[in-house]
Amino acid sequence: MTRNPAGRARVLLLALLASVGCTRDAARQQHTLIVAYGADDFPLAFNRERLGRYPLNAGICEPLVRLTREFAVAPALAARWEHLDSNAVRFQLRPRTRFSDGATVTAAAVAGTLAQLTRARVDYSSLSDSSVRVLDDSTFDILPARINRRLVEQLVHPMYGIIEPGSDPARRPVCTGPFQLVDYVAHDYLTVARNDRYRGPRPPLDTLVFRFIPDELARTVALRSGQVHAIVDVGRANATSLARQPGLTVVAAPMGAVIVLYMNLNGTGPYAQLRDTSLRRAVAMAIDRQSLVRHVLGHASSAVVSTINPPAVMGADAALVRGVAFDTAEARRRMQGRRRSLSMIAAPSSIDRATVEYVQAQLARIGIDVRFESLDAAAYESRLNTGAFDLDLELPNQNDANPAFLLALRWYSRSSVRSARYMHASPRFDALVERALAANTHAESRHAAAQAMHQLVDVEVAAVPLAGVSRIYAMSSRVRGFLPHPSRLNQDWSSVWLAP
Amino acid sequence: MTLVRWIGGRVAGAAGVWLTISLLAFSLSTLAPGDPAHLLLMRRTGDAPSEAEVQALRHRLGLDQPFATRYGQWLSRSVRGDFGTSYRTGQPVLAELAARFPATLALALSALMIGLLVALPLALAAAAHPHGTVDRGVRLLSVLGISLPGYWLAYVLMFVFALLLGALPVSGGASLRHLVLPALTLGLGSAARLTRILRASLLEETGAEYARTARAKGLSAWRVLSSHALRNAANPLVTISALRFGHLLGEAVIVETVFAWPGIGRWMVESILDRDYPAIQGFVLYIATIFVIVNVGVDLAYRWLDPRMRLGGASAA
Amino acid sequence: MTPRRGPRRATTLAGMAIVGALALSALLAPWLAPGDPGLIDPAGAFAGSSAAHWLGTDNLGRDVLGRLLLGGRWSLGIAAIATALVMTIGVSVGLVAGYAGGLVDDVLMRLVDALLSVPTLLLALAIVGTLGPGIASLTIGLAGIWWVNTARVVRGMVCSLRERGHVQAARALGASDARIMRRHILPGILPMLAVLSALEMGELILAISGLSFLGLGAQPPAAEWGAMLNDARTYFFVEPRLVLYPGLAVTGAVAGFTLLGDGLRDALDRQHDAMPGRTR
Repeated sequence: MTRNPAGRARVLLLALLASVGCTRDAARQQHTLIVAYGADDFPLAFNRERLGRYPLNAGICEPLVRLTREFAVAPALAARWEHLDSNAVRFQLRPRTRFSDGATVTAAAVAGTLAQLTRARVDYSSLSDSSVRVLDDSTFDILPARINRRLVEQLVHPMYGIIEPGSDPARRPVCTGPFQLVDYVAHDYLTVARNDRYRGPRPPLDTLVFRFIPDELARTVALRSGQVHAIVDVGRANATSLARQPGLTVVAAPMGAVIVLYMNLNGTGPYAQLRDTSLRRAVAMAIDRQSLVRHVLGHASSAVVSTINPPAVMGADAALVRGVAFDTAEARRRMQGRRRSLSMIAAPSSIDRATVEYVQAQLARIGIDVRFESLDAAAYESRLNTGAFDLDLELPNQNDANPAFLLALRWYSRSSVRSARYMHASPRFDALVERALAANTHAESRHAAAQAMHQLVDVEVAAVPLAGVSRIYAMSSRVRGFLPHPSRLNQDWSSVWLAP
Repeated sequence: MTLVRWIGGRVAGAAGVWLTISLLAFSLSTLAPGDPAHLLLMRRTGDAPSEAEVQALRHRLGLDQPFATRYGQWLSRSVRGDFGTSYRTGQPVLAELAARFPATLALALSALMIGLLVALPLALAAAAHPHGTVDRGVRLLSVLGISLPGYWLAYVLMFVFALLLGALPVSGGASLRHLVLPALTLGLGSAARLTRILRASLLEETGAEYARTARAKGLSAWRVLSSHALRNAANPLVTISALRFGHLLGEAVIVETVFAWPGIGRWMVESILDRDYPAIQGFVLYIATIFVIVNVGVDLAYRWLDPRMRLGGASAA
Repeated sequence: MTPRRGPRRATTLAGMAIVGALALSALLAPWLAPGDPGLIDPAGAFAGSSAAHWLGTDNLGRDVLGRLLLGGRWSLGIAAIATALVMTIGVSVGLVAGYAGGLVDDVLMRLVDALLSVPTLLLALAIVGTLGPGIASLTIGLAGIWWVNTARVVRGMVCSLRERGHVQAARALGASDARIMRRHILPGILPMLAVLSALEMGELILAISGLSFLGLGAQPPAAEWGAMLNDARTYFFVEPRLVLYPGLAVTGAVAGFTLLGDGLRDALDRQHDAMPGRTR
């Protein structure tokens, strides 16, 4: 302690500066956001090469183009692209982009990732039929072997995130996204930290932790007791009660997925009943979708939808698909007094029991006894791909900008997915899907896709869209800057920050 | 019988038990519906494999060999520490189990401690005046305690402590604070069972010759209980605790699932729900090994603790 | 020491009362339940207690009381079948082992010891989990494990009974083994079997609801108590009573059977002091 007043003032000033620095450090230490996610699917064998990208997109990697909240395509790593006459697409990379470890992003690096993806056996678009031609450091072409005018719309999928050649996609992918991978413990957590070399606006968060908590109740309790700042996939009933809690906010994303009742049209043996169009129509007529939306799913987060994908994707063309009207009397009449027994399976982690029981109850009213078995992921896939079911409840997500994405994947007879064999409808439907895939403009593609959907849903009743749902997030009121994206895979956390 | 021969006999018996369980564990795979090769390919690719692929994998995995051969191979691998690879995570089963077992052990031991802490005074109070009011109250409480489903008690405690009081965390983690709720849930259930056993054991002792003599000499019931009966009830207490520990491991499965406690119980449930057969088999074998060792250990401890046994005679304590 | 029969009788009576009430409600469930418990009414979900719904409604608007009564049929029914199986297997094995003695006894008891060396619930979990979800696998899996304790107790009793005077006399007179078992041994163990049955019912109800809670037992829309609790826990904050009721039902049922078993055993203990009972 000095007796000199100037000296004392200097010490005080230093102390003040130091304390400000300390508080700033403390505040910075606080800048970690903890999000409770659902189950960890990365350890599954076919997801192992997609750490941090799919099915949880942790913001580590970026594809060439990205999906906007309006389901449109915007530039990401690629600054420009043009469709060449020969079915190929030429991409121009954004200049001076770097991977998180400093290496420059070149066309050759991009080609490396795409080549790796085309070699992968599990692929859900026709990228596997493509080849890449590098022209110079920032220009390259992708040439699909089959007609695929929807290529760019497909490339928004996070699975096509560009990885630095040589980095390990299963353990330590090095990419260009707003975050970089710090740590991962299977079934426990995935931690990412800010990527200082990110080309875009600097993410406010220092660290972002995704904790894997498969049980919805445990997630809710974690949020309520303050262990996590945000939780994903809140059930509708819980959302209402959480919204009433002080200090918590509930946010619903724009509609991003539709609950669809798939049907086995081409089954054999005990699973051949739904070959009968009249029975299919009876099933569709028996389900009161309004009641499902209003009471079971919760009005605020769902709506009756007749298209296979969210109406926002289809725009004005959504009106082409009318859906089958709810009419119990007519459904009973079509049953002709017979009682039937159908087998139903449901996607394990996305369809909840309440929806299953609702459909069971509705069909029971017209004399159809629905047998349901809860299955694990592998058993479910197995039943689906061998046609051992009559009805299948799923919540497929629209994760890219291609309007015909789901149609081509699940009902198109030439789809690489095995279950399409059992779901596929008719040559007319196939022709419409091909038209959508080959259309030159997005508008034409959308129109053709809507016509295909009309054929599927209204004419052949091969599938029954039940309700569009929005993903619900609940978070502490301290969380700011969160912009919910309709596509769960494209949820961006780089604009989020935590208020003190 | 010399000590060495006695130990040898015990060990041989334990080995027999272990072999029987290993056979049972391995037979689980025959119970499983579906073809394991098909399932494995399914998981790897997410798509239905062709018949040729399935047959090729069956041959590679040796699944087309007779049961006895497969059992022998599995057994010899297991003895060397290779319990197979988990379908779900692709990691060696033994490594996964060994990594998670300490958490379950901590949970079970804490629960046992809580159980004993609650059960001892209750049992003593009950046995002091058999069929009195306290005794009947304790008996009723313990019946209720053993009837409570563990998962239900878990939610009740969760509600009270995590929500009403906001005091304790309810999922995941492996810290002392995270241990409280699961251990309390398991412990209270155990307390009920332990109370019943202890009470019965104490009553047996108080009915015994020496106790009646002591009472006749004028010692109070409490004195008799705490200084004499309890000491003699100590040996069965060790055995009972060991047995209870076994049951605790079983009940821990549900409690771990509710509280997301990172132990082998929760892992077992996840493996089951995912039809991860190597993990299920490995788990049964692992538990059996531990228990066989523990049982032999308890036998040894029992024999060492009880001078009557050691002397091989029937002299009074 | 004068045994006080009053309070001990009370236990048995209480147990019998509860068990009787449960059995009755399970049998008469379709008539007792107001309306159709399977009828969903999503608009009336999470309703509180009312004249129409004494215990309110669940997340799909179904009457909780009705589902509880129906659930009783499931939980108690499965437990009863499993107990019957357990008793059949356990008594058979115990009889054979205790009566035959020697190598047969050795082998069987080794098997029993082996099965007892693994915690029962874990083994049951492994077996039921492997067989797949469903009531059949649940019943078979549980019965396949739970018989061991019964077998051990029965064997012990048969062993001691075998040495009794009247049994030795019958053997000396040349009676067949079957006749001896039927006329001399079986009546001797019957009272204990009653005790064991009651206690096993209690344990099995707990095990069944526990496994159903994990998703391995009854499938939707079955109203089994454990499954009901599993469904209800997602709505723990919206309506915690939905978690309360099935838990109370299970507790009540298990307590009833345990009290009954305890009471019966006390009655037996009064008669035979040196009866090898199972202390729990």
